Amino acid sequence: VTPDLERVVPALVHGGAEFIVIGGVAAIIHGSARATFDVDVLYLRDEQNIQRLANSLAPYKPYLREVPPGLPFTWDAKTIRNGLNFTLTTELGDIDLLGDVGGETYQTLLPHSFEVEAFGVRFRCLDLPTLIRIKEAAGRRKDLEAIAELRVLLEETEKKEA
Amino acid sequence: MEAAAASDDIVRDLMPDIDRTLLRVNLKLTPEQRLAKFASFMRFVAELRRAGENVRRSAKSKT
Repeated sequence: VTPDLERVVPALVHGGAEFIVIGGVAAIIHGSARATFDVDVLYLRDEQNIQRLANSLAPYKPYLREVPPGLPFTWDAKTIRNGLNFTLTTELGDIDLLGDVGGETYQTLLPHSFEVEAFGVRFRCLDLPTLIRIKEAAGRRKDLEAIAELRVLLEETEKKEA
Repeated sequence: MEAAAASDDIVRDLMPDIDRTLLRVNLKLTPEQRLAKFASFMRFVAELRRAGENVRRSAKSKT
């Protein structure tokens, strides 16, 4: 489901959720010319934030992707608490809600994030060198072209800033 | 370790094929403008998907 970024990100921010945008949307923020079809979000796993995430997304009927419709799935704080990483489809599009990315958490990556303003809200995005590092550490063949583009972006950004 | 080195070689091989002109255009935009451009593209994609579904639906109804 194509992500409705203009509504996904504000929904999370207005709900008070603490998160860092990573993955393809972060790459776009850095200037990537590649399309992405989901929003990857690294969230803070504390009790308050888990509750806020549950409340923020509940109106948009989150359901696990690739799970046949009709199977019992309840979107609430308990589900988030008992899990870690969720690949969700919602009325606002596909969202990957991640508590951990290759051993990195919201707390460890927070110093490597910066604030962005878009869609009328402010939220955090992973910085480019860390985005590259995370993608490289994941070791997925499908990411190699994206990593090449991110490295070129880093070169171009550094050239521009020099 | 070897796999990481092999991946690194592949990434280096891919880098010359990246269209820097597209990236330079994007780098002239603010992050907000880049997201707005992407959101507009996604609306375009959604419209194309809807059109494709309509074609498939009408083809199915004719058979």
